[in-house]
Amino acid sequence: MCLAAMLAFVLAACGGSKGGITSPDDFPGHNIAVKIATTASDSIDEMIEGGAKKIEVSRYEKVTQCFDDLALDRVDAVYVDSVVSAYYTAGSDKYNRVWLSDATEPMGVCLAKSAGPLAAAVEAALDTMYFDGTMAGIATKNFGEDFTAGLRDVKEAPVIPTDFTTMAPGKLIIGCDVGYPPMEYKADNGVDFVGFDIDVAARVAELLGLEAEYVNTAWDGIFTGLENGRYDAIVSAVSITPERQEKYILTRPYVANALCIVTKAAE
Amino acid sequence: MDSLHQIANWMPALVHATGTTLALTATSVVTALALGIVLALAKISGNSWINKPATAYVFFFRGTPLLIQLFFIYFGLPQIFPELNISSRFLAAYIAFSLNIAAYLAEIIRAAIQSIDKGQMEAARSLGMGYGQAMRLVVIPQSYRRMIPPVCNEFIMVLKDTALVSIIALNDLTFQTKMIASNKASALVYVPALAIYLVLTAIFTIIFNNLEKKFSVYE
Repeated sequence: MCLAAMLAFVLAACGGSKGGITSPDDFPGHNIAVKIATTASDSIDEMIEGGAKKIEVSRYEKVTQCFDDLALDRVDAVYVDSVVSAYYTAGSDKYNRVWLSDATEPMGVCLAKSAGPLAAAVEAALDTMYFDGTMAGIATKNFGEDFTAGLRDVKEAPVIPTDFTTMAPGKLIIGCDVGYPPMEYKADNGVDFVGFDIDVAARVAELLGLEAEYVNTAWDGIFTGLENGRYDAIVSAVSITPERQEKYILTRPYVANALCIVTKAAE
Repeated sequence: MDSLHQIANWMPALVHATGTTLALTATSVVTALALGIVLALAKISGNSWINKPATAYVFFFRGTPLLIQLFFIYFGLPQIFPELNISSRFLAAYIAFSLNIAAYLAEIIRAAIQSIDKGQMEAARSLGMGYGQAMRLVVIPQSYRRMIPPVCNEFIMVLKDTALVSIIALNDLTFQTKMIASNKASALVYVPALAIYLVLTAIFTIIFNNLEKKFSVYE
């Protein structure tokens, strides 16, 4: 009897609201999924502080859960980085990208303020990857197209400085929040880390003569982890923002990105 | 002074989130108590059509992690049965918690009932009472006092376990605390969060202590 009552309860609760969202201006009156502590989440907070009413925000620890909820019609849209939206909209007619911000939010490698020499070496390694074309190869492999094109114009082979130190000799320890496809996520076997950032970090480490080691860290604690010296650098889809630049070293952009809105395609 | 001011700023959001934590704890424990009593009596029953399913229920819900049960009910179930798509996060959490806690409470209640001396049941039956009457009027009232400490324990565990709902984006006290900590990059927020949990636990401990005293008259 108890179960029957629950079932009735469940059925009554079915069916979320659907609406035509074509830009963030349409957010009021809708339920929007974001990942915790991302630029999308901050941007929606600013809207609410600025007086936007009735925006219901569903904040998830993993972006994959945002899309799970969208697939089940429990949220109206996902507000997310365009690099991620491409993963979900490419080759699938299940989702539509309905809006893309004009302001770009490119991503950089993030290091502690105290790691200046290492940051310079990482910067030079990234330049080298643009120069020798490996960056374009990694991007095409992971995105299906080259989101890194035109970001850096490197005419001469860069010289990678060698005066840097890392936390563990011979190792470049990378912090990343695995679960953000196609940037960093788990392979089909559920164990190996794969993705654009994983490949980039591996190549950077190789160019620096180091071995890459990945530390999987929850996104909402990833910057604290850097401050506490748990890894040398964050290579985890870190959008370059003035606030972050104030507290940490961010390299110049290595992959293009913007905010975008993804909705479920009408059936 | 500055930190106090900061904490004061966070309090409205924290108190609001505490409401979710409390509501979820209270509703799911009450539902689980009702379900737990039914399960406990079913487990004691001599009829294997009744006690086997109850045993299986307890085995399943006690044998699997609450976190995965919650994930399964919220994300897994609707993918297998689209009509079981629960759009309310609170409802999904309430169902998962009620079903899970009921399994633990069933064992607590069963143990309390069975700890009452067999002579009580025999004496009641020899006075001409039926099984149901003897249970209801003689055995179960005596078991109240014995089940209060473990139920209180369970209640306090649930209060803290509700922190798990942050994984389905339900804004409980732990979720709100983590949000503030990551947004403002301040670990100071853990202090009021700990204090709120302690105050809640203290309140419930006092309530259950009084209940225990009240029911001690049977011993």
